[in-house]
Amino acid sequence: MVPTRLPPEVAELLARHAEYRRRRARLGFEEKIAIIERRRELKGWRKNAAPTRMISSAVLPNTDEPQPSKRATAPMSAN
Amino acid sequence: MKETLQVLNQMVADGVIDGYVIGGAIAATYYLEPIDTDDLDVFFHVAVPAGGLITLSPLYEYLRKLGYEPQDETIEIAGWPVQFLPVFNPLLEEAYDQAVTITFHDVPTRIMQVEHLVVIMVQTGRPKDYARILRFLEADAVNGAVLEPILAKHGLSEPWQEFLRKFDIHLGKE
Repeated sequence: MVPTRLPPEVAELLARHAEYRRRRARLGFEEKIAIIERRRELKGWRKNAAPTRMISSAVLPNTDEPQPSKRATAPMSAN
Repeated sequence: MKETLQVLNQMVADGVIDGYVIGGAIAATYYLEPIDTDDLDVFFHVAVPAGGLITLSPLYEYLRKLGYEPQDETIEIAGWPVQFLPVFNPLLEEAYDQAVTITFHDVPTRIMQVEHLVVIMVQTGRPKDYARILRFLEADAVNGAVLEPILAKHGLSEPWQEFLRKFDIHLGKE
């Protein structure tokens, strides 16, 4: 396998990213866990809620009442 | 996380499990930068009853009484989905026995040593394990003098050498 020579700007970017990760590794454990928990909240994970994406009942049509259209269709995904 | 660990410690105090050790991404986070994960991997020891059949029912029942319900392969405890994984082979047994005690916001807990985490990842051998091993090596977090005897003891020296060859890694001798 021929070693790949990275362009200098890419090599510099990778080096800076590695340094960033090393700095983060030096944080205290409590601080690291707080970062993970913050990221999870940003991704939509909430305490006492399933970690998977869910369709809120608020966005679903109320199928208990007569619908104006022939058929109520729920969104395929929560994206 | 603090409350989750307090519940786990209470499970030990109440005899539901003999003890536990944190592994997986949260243990890796202790040694590396924060690693995104959805759950907390908890390796636990249960006393094997006379019949030899281990059942997780008492564990689930205990947690259900506290209001923590199973979700797929995890049980959400105070905001963290916890995956309970029994110690089932000699490598995990050793990792469990030699885990280090740390504190998290003054709550004591046990976490696997970095070298055991790496050897377990070699044994598991999924792409994400290899990616994580590379991060451990990049961070210079692993002591080769500790790692190699563990690899040899558990018959994993050859997969380790194969991993090093595959990623063209040359480790310096200390």
